[in-house]
Amino acid sequence: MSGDLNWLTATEIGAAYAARRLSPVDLVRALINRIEAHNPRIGAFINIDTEGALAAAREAEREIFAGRARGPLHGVPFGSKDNIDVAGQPTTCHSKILLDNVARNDAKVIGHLRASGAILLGKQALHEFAFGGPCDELPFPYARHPWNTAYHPGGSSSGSGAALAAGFVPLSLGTDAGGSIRNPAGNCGVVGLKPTYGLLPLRGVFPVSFTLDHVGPMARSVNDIALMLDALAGGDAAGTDRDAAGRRSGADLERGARGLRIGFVRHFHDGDMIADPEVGTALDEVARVLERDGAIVTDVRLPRLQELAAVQRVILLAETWAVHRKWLCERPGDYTTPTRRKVMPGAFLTAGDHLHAQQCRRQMIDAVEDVFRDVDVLLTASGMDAPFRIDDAAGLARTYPRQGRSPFNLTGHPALAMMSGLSKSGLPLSVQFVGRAFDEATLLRAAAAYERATNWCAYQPRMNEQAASGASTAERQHLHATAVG
Amino acid sequence: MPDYDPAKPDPDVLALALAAGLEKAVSKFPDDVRAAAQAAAQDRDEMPDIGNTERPWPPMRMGSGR
Repeated sequence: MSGDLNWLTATEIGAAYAARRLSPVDLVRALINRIEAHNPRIGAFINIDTEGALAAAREAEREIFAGRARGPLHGVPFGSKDNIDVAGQPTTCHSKILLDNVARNDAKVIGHLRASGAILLGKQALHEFAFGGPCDELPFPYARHPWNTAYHPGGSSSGSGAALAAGFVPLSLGTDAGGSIRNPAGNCGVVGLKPTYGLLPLRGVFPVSFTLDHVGPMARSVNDIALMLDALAGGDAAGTDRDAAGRRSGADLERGARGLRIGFVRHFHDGDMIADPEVGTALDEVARVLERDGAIVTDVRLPRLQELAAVQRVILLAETWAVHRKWLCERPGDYTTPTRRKVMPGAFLTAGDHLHAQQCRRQMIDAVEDVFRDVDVLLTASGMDAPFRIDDAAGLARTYPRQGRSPFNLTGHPALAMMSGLSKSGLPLSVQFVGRAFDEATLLRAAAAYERATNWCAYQPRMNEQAASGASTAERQHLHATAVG
Repeated sequence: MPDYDPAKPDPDVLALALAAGLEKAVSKFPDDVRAAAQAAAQDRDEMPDIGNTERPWPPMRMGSGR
């Protein structure tokens, strides 16, 4: 198969395998070559399992070409955030604390992906314990934005997002306790889904916060998100409330937005917090695009964003203290400074604080459920700001809490972030769509309609001799004008 | 939350930190302990008051709360 293999989606890869225009071995070799060439600058991968990936590719090649394809992800490469267990490999959580923590078994979701025939290329960088941030105290390099390595790719699934945007893999596996899939997906111009709480199994995923944790798919297209979600669920979805009709997650992707009722949570970004003007403008344009496609967009109100966020944080901090207490007491110097500061507040919260937060949570879930009586999907800000410079610690501290993602970890509703435009500096802006519990199909329908209308997913950075600097500012401004005009 | 001077620790913060077993952190990273205590206090203060506690708990499964 000729052309650039690095940017193929999982859907395109499956079609090329079926037509025998591409072999899994050739694809894996091409991607590993690209990773070896560019990862030293991007830092998306901590570890590449070249031998294991090529062995799996050879096996997939034999099976697929013998007419025994297991499904749409058979032979499709993926990367996994390094807080998810892979048997025989370290799960470091990007921390000195766990450098020798070799997993005995695959996490359940890794097992499901392997059963679908997907091929693991390696483990991806993250914020330490899915908490900290980029700093020089880390045991491995931190991930950088592939479009411009001077910028932050978002976190905490930073390597997972950067790997997609760099053309290293078509699929990544991330985790999300307060927005950690959606932030890097939006920052890197790809798609990330936090599924409904409880849809995907968490066994073998290192915890951040027991009742807020999610594992979920990241990809370069909404269709690939649907394929990966179905594979990740494996047989586990049968035990949930999910989709009584037993539909695939992508069952409605082609239906468009006509008749969809979209609730625009405008007060998140123009009242509770004031988003950067270019973020707000892009969100208005998302609403217009969906209206032009036949959706009915109305403004809706949820509880105040700051209150949702505070309740989420109290639960997060109380629960994460339970995870880290022993190490924080015995080895506080082995954490990086950002992580130590973010994890330790749980020591100063009481059981009463946690219970108060859980009581608030009950009421906040009800408030969101009430809104879903009248709408099918919510449209909200994901981040309130464009990606910021990675060496700007003050910028990180200021902008990181300015987001609309954590409320849906609190309530458990499925939420997806994707690109909504380009900032003045030529980096992605993002939008968040939120669905009813266990109605990922309708959520993905809305996202697919927006994707089809704007085609932001087709935009890729250039990473040749320009060292991953991305397309020129002029090219981006032209694309921006074309897309929003 | 009063300011926490590492040289003269706030007694409440110090008591909580020691009760939590953070002696090493208090000794080696007093600024981080102070920052953590302040962050916890801020989040606690930003939570809304609870009016109706008739149904105080989140559902054990999504969508099954009522």
